[in-house]
Amino acid sequence: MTEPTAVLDVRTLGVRRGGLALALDGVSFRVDRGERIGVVGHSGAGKSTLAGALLGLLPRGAQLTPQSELYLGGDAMHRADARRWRAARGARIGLVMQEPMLALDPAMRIGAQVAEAATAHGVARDDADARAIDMLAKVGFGDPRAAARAYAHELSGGMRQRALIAAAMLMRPAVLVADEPTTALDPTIQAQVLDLLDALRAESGTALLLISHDLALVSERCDRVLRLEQGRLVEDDAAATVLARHRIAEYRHAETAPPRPSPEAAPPVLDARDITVRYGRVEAVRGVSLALRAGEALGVVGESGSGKSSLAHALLRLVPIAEGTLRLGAGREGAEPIDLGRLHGEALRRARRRIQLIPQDAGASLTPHCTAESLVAEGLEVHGLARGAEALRRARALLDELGIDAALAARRARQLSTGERQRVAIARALAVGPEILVCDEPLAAVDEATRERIIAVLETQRRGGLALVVISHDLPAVERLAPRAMVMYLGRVVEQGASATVLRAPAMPYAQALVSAVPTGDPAATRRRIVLQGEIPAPASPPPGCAFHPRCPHPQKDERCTSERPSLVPIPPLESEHHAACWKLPLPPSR
Amino acid sequence: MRGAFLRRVGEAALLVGFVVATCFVLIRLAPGDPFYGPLDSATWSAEQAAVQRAQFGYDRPIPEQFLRYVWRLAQGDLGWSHARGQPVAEALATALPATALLITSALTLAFLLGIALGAWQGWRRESRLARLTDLASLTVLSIPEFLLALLLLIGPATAWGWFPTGGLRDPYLPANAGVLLDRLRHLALPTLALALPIMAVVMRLQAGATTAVRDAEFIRAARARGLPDRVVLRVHALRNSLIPALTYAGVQLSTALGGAVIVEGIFSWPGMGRLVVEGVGRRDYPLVAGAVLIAAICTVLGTLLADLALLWADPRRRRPS
Repeated sequence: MTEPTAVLDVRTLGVRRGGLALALDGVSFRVDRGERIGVVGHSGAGKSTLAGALLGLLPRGAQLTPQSELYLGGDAMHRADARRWRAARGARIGLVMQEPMLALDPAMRIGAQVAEAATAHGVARDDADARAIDMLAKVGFGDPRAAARAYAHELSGGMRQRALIAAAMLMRPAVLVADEPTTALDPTIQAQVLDLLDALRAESGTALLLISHDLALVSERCDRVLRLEQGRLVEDDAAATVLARHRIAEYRHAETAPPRPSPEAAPPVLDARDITVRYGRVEAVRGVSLALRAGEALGVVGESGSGKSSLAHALLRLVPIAEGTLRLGAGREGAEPIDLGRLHGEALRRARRRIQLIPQDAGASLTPHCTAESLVAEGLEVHGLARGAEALRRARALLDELGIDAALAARRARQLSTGERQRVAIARALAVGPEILVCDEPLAAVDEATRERIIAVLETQRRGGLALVVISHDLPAVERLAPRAMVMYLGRVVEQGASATVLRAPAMPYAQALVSAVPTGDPAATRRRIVLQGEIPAPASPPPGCAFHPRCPHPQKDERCTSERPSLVPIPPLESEHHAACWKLPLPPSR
Repeated sequence: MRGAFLRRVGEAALLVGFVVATCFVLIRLAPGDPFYGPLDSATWSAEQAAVQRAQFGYDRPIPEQFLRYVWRLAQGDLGWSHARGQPVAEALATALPATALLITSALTLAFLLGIALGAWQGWRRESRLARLTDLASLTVLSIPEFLLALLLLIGPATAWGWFPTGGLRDPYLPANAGVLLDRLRHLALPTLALALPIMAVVMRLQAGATTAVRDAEFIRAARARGLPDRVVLRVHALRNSLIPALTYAGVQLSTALGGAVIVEGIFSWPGMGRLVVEGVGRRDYPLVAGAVLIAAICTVLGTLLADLALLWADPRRRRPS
């Protein structure tokens, strides 16, 4: 009843999951051989439910509605029993999931997990092992035999995702569902993984269903885009058409008015000089300096492992500072300037009221069984700013400002959505009235709407005089939030200056690669993109000379790059305060 | 790695020493001594007892006694059991195998069955049968250990006569009869009495851990590869949910030794438990010290084994080589 070419034919697919509203409602679409289809939508729109339904892996308690029809290569899977589903999964339809750290069995070697995909479908053990090794080589493991013997925790996020792709593609399925495959990865690694998916797809004729919250990314990589909204399919069109309609590209490239810097005369509220952080012999941060005045914001960008989070923790003295000085300036309410680097015990605890952190994965930093309002009130009580009913009242008022109403505020943290939890975490940091807020990846894994909301909240606070340090992979967001930015690589600042320069026209090759990895929605961008080879080296043994030289794509890199470390030098015009560390910069007029 | 191992052994030796020293002192502080007879006893006069005490050195200060004990221990001499009238080493050598048999079979049963049932129960948490087994484990847990042993003695042994009521073997068993079957029949009830409470705990731990891992992403990923449900449970879910049960296993050997004291008493099992009760009752200092030494060594070995098992179950705990 279906045409022979459709590898996947979905008709009036619906999923009921308790309650009255359907998680998916009347979704129909068709996928042809080798096609690249993007699926976009806000969180809760039904993207992951769709992925589950296509693989017959719906969560407990969820089921297909009676009118749902699902044909996989012509087979009516909506009528299939467990056995037929099992035979189809992994062989004819594969899945790559969002969190590579969680999607691999921590107690089983990588090779065995990849080979499982073959043995599950009747391939003999030896043959399966051999195929797994071949596949691991194909997805980019230099030494596939070593990779096969490794455990998940011994691999980086990007390599883990490659291993999962190897497992999903081992049997060359007709359809591969990739559910946010790169959301948890660095932008530079993201490009590598997407290129890999596309190469495998082209080679084996597998159709790719790329699920993502990022329309720009999907538009670059897909021919057609499906958009879901509240469980319904609201758009099914050519990628360019959908993108144009949403004008995401326009908003991404909008010249956001850079926030006015505060008067130069004001002394900095945070002054960090030559900060070095060591974990044993590993130097995670090497001589980083930064200064912030009230109402200023500084963006910090770089791959995972570049030392961004260690820097954030050092600024709060959550990790010991091995070298360098860290001072808080004279605060509001006449607080004394303090040498944060030398404080201990009670004095340090009290000083932390003035500098607060929104930790990475902030939603998970909330104790799940506590209510949102009690979590925010806790900070007020700990710092003796308010107690009991008064603390709760102030907590509710603050949460309300951040768009968490009284009903939500009374809920427990585990009952809130990711975006709501993120805002509760921000409220908790803001509650004690800090002068400096350090945000570590405040926008990771949140959908577009939540992202806008969080940006608006932080922006309002900054206008109110809060100094911000924004650490993020999300370069466009950093540019909107912070007038100044610095790029880190292996613990050092390699470029810094105005965000408009550093994040758009950077001078040194690493920053250029980082910036070019940002999805723009233009498929041509994937060709212009500088895809870095390999991954950031282990901070325990940084390469000599310029730490970036082994991955540097610069055509003229030479002896000096591999032996001598470049320091930050100003780039003309000098008043721009643009600095970069690279031997191949255009020479300044006079030094 | 080697340094860590040596440190571990050193800690274990220190622990054993501490336990033995504590018991050595405590039992000497208790009223009476090996030669303290009933007042109307015709066996010992006060003078005779004093001579005996002096002969065994029990009239000296306790620290001196301890040093002498350690000195002899270093030469492999565990002392003389007054209650048994034989060397402590000999008394232990006859009792230890019986207890080892009982504890080994009980722990094996408790952990194999407990983990299997618990994993199944946690995996199928919503099914009616799973709820029933959950209730069963809770019931077993709420019965005191000695009562459970007595119930087994009253029911299957006395009233229904399926099993012997006690002892290690049938003394009147005709030659060339089924020796193995006879041993197993004697072993069954004490094993069950000792195993059931441990099994109930293991089951609950395992069920909880399995339920927690059931919705993990890697379980979903394994399903997406097309693995059958039972393989997903056996290969991926089981190993990643063993940690609570294995951790518990590490402390179970000592608990089982304690439980054996009760069970051996009720089923007249001629093991260490009965020996210790007798030794304490008659203030048989060397016998108690010897038994405690063995128990402490077993406990330390048990935790060591459990730690090795944890390393096997969770590669993340291993040090990078």
